[in-house]
Amino acid sequence: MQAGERKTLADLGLSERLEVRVECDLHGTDFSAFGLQGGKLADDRYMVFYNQPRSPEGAITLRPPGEFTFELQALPPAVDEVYLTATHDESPLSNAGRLNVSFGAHTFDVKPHLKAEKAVMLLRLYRHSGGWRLAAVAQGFNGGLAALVGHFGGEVAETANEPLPAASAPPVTSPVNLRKERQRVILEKAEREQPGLVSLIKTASISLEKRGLSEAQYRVKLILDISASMQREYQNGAVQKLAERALALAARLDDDGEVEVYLFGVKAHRKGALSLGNVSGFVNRMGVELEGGTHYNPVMTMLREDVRREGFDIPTLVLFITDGGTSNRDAVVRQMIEASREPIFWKFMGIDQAAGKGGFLGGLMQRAAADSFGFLEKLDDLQGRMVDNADFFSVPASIDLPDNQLFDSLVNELDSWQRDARRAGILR
Amino acid sequence: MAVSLSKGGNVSLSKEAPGLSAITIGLGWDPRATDGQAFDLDGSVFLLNASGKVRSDSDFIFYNNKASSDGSVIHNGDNTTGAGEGDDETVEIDLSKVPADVDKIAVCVTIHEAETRSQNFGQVSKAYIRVLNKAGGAEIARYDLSEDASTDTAMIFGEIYRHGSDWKFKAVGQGYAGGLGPMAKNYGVNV
Repeated sequence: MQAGERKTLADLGLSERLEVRVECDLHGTDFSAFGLQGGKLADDRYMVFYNQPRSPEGAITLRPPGEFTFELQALPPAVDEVYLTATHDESPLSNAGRLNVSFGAHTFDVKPHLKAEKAVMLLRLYRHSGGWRLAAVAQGFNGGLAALVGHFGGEVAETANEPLPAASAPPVTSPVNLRKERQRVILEKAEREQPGLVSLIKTASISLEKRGLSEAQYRVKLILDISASMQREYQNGAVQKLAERALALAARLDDDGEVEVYLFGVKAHRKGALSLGNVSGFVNRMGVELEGGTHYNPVMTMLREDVRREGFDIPTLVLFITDGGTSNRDAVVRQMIEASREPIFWKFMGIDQAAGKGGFLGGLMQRAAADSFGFLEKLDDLQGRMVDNADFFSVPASIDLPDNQLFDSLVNELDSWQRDARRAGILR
Repeated sequence: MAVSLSKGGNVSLSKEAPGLSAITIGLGWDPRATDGQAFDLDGSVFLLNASGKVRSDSDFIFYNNKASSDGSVIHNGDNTTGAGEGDDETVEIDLSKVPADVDKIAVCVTIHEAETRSQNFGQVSKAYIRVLNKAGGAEIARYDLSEDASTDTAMIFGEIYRHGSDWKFKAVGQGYAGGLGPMAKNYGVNV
């Protein structure tokens, strides 16, 4: 059977008396059956596990470690579904070499569906249209048995005699778990210190989810153009708004939730880390002195040095904000080709100063913009790279597109780069 | 008066609900309770000509093109998680505004990025799609995606087609291999 599949017992060639065998080679894995009423564990005698291997009337029995016998016709009518589960106190079940469930002539291989779950629902037997059905589930909770029991109604967790792994449990070793925890801490911190950012963080996480990147981890770095033509964007707060959005993205992607900020005009400058603690007024405090030129090359070199020093174990997402084309284009092209071997994805956002401008001057500006952005588009499609490590999009100078569109654009292609980079061995 | 239609069954919308001029397609599901990537179901509508193809790409109404050019079809917005009560996504079709050269309207449902997220309808709790009379909200037909399309990731739910001066609804309930892209392509959309 495949995950998600739902069938009547008759379609599976099974009767209401059925045997299910769970096999798992991860030491310390426990198997249990939960008989629920209206989705809740209303009666804890219907939690069948090694300490209570039999429901009161014997409709569910367990022969440890993992052989269950069901006499579904003997279950009280109020019990309308039974979940068969696997849990582990310490380790994600994905550490098992195999976890499969067999019944009748069928086998359900659960292992390929596991990520960081320490508790997983394997099968669901449930009443539907006057009969019993079976669903292959393979979904669960990183929080283990406590989270699973919470899902089944929660009250039991308070009253059960069986101690649940709680604060006393040893620290989890899975990086994904720690990361979830870290994200939660960052969100709570935002709720306390920057409530205005909370909805931005949530919007950012939706864009990431859409790309299948909800569990992705990146260092986020922001590169800001300080060429003279950017003056208005610094004065009217547009750059500050962009910085806040970069931070919201980092709250989901970045382990420390901070964004390293770089400035470039003619020269390149490191401006430290943007964080929840210092985001208010960050751009004003930088004391930007605009420069009379646009050179991508020095800041790219500086950033690549920093990334190399920090290590290639975690990929880097660079948000490169510019309103014009660079000098020394050949050097930039070489950089991009070289950098395609590094776990860095370059997202170029072009601020189109000419958009919507008419007249002779507007025409000139539009021609200049077409040239600059043509170069950025060329970077996007540049040949000779190991993988496509860049994406370009442009926005009109007011930068007032809706946040969900901005986040969608900022993470566009990140998923395909991640896949290609992993395949090419650039990313672990 | 929810009519339970079996696959291939059809019902005259005009007879079922006299005076009916507009319908609502409702799509609902429960948000994911377990850990992992959210379930994002998408409802889409294709306005089709006599040869079963869209007249132009704008006849494909979905989360990125929320209204047909003639205003007959309005998609009320993308819900990416299933959060919220009742129907999570709705599409409204004003049959009186549908242009004469549109013969048939296909109503489809897909899971966003089903393949990369390894998801199907059976993994989603309480997923359904239904047709309602917009006036009054009476249900005309419903399909239980979680139970009856468990291994599918995309489905042609039904077709609304002209029958003389009437409109009829046919319950197709047919799974479709591939996602929204291939489905749109099949209906003649340039994707």
